[in-house]
Amino acid sequence: MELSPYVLVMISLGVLFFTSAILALYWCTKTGQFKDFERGARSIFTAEEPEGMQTDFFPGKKEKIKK
Amino acid sequence: MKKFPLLFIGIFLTVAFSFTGIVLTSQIQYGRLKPVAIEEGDQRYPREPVGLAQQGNTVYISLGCLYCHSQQVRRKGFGADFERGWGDRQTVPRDYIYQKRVLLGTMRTGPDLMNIGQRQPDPHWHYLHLYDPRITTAGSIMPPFRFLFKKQKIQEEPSPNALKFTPGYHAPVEEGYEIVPTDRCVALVQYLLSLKLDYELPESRFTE
Amino acid sequence: MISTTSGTIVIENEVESVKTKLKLAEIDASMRFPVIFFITSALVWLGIGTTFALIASISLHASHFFPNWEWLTFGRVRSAHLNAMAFGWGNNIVFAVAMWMMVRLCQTKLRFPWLMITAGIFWNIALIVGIAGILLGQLTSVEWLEMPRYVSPILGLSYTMIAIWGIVSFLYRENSHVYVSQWYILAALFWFPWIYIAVQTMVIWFPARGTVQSITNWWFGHNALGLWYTPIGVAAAYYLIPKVLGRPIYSYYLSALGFWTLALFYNWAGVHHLIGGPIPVWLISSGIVASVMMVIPVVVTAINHHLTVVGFFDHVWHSPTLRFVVFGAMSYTLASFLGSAMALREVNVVSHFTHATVAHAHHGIYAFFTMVMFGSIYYIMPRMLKREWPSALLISLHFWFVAVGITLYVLGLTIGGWIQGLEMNNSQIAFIETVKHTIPWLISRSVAGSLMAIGHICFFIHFLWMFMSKKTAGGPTLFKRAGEEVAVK
Repeated sequence: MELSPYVLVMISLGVLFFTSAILALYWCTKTGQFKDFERGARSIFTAEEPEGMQTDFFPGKKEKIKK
Repeated sequence: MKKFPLLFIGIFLTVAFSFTGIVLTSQIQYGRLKPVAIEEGDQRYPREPVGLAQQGNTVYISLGCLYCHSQQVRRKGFGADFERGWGDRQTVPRDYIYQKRVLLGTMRTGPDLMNIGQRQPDPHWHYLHLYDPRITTAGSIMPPFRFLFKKQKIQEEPSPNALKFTPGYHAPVEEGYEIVPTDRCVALVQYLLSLKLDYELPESRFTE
Repeated sequence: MISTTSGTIVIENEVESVKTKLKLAEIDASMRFPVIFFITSALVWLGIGTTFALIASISLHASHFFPNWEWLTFGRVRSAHLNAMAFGWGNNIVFAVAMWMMVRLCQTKLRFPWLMITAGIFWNIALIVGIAGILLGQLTSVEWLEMPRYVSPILGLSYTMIAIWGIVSFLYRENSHVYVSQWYILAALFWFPWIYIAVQTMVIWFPARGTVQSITNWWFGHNALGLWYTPIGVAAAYYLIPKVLGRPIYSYYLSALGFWTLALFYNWAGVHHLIGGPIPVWLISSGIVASVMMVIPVVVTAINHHLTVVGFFDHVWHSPTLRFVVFGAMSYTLASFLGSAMALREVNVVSHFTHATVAHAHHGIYAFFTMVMFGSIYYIMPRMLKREWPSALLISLHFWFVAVGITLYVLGLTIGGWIQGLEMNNSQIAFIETVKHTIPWLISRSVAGSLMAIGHICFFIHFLWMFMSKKTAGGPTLFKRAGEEVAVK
C-alpha cells in the first residue's frame, strides 16, 4: 500500500491530537476533575424527586405499579 | 469534565481534526485538478460541457433526478457496473472537475447515468422515456414527466421532435395534434446525451 | 460528604430543601413559552413531513396515483420530506428538548427567552420559504442541503443564536456538577453551526472543484446525524432513563468514555457514503475504520442505558416516556451496529445504492432519535402545562402504531434493499427485473408509513386535547400526591 504524502500529514496530525488528548486526560486527573466523578450521576435527583422515586406514569395508572 | 474551557477545547479539536483530515486534505490533494491528455498534444479530457447540455444540467438538478440515479462507475470486481455496460472504466476525481454541482448520487433506484449518452444515443428514445417511462421500459417505476411536454396543433408537417408512440399505446392526442418536448426537455435530453464515458485518463484506462 | 445510600443524600439535600423545592417548578415555569413554542413547531413540521413522505413513497410504486404536477415529482417531494423532517421536526424538537434539559441541569431559570424565540421564528419562516423553493424547482440537489441557498444565511444565523444561547446559559449555571447530558448538548450546539457553515461555503456558495464537494457534503450529512441529532437523543436517554426510574446511570465513568469516543470517531465516518466512489482510497478506508470504531461508544452507551433498566422493565412499560425512550435507546444500539457492518466493503458492495441505505437512515433517525423525542415530549409537556395527558389509550395507540410501523419499515426495506443489491451485482439479471422485485418491498414501506402516520395523528389529537383539558393541582412532579412515593427498591 503506497502512502501518499497526505496520509503522512494526517498521521502526524493524528499523533499530535492523541498526544494532546492524553495530556489533557493527565491534567484532568491531576487537577481532580475525576474526583467524586460518580457524584455527577446523582446530580439529576433533587429533594422533590429523590433517588428511588419513579417520576412518570400513565395518566391515572399510578397505583398499578408493583414491586 | 466540569470545566467549560476543557470541554470546549475537546469539542473544537475533534471537529477540527476531521474537517482538516477529510475536507481540507482532499481540497489540497486534488482540489485543483486540471484536464489532461493521454499523449502529448492529444485532446485533453474531460471535456467542458457547453451550450444546451449545460442548460439541461440545470433541469436535471431542478427535477431531482439525482435521487434515483447515480453518476459514478465502480471499479471492475466491486459490483457489476462494468458487466452491466455502465462504463468501460472506473470513474475518478478528474472526471468531475467540470461539474459545477457534482451529481454523484447515492441511490440506484434507476440505472447509473455516467455513460447514458453512449448507451442510449437516440434523443427520441429519451423523449418517449421521459414522457412515460413504461413505453420504452415495461415495468419501470420511474414517474412520468409529462409536464416536460406540450400538446400543439400540427402545422403543415409534424415537428421533427414530435413523439412517435408505438402502435398499441393509448395515444393521448387526437388527430391533428402532436406532443412535443418543451425547450427545457430538449436541453435535458442534450445533457443526458452528453454523459459519455468515451475517453480515457492516465489514471483510469478502459478495462478489458 | 456523599455516601451512596439514598439516606445520606436525603439528609444532605434537606439543608437546601426549601431552596430547591420551589426550584423545579420555577425552572419549568420559566421555560413554558419557548419550550411549548418549539414543540408545537416541531409537531407541525412532523405532520407536513409525514404528508410528503407518504406522497413520495406512493409515487415509487403507483405514480399514476397523483396528477402529473411538476411540484409533486419524486425528486422534489422526497427532498421536501427530508428537509421538513430533518430541519422542521428534528431541529425544532432538538431546540425544545436540549433547552429544557440544559436549563434544568443548570438548575437556573431560563435566561434570554427572547433570543431563543426570535431564532425559532426566523428558523421556521426560513424553512417555509426553503421548502416552497424545493417544490418550485429551486432545490440544490445536494443531499441534506436541498433548500435554495438564499435561506441558508438565515438558518445559519438562527443556529448560531441558539448555540450562543446554550453556551451562555451553561456559563450561568448554578450547579457545580456537569451532567453527561450537558456535555452532549454543548457539543451538539457547538458542532452544528460549524459543519453547516463549512459545507454551505464549500459546496453551495463557493463550490469546490470536483468530488471535494461530495466529500464535504457527506462529512456534513453524516455529522448532522452523528454530531447533532444523535447527541441530543443520547443526552435525552441519559437524563430521562435515570430520572424516570429514580436510579442513577449504571456507570458514570463509562459515559465520559462514550462521549469522547463518539466525538472522535463519528466525525470521520461520513465518507462511508462514498465507498467505491471517485475519491481517494485512503479516505474511504479511514471512513470505514471510523465507522467500525463507532462500536466503542455505542457499546458504552448501550451498557449505560440498558443496564440501568435491567430488572425494571415493568417500570419502563408503565411509563409513557420510557416506553418510547427505551425503544429508542435499543434502536440506537441496533442501528449503529448495522451501520458499522454496512461500512465494511464486503457488505457495502451489496447495500450501497439500494433501499437498504434508506432503511438504515430511518432506523437511526426515527426508531432511535424520533422515538426518544416522543418520549421526551411525554415527560416535558405535563410539566410545562401543569396538567396530565388526558388519555392513556391515545398514548398506547401512538406507541403501537409507530413502533409496528417503523419495525415494518426497517425490516421491509432492509430485506428488499439487500435483495436489490444482490441482484444488481448479478449482471445476468436485467436491471428492470431487479426493479420489479423491489416493488412489494416499496409497497410495504407505504403501508408502514401509513401506520406511522396514524400514530402521528393520534399524537397530534392528544396534544391538542391536552391544551384544552383542565389543570390538575400540584408541583412540578405532577403525579406525586402528598406523602405518596413509589419506592424502587
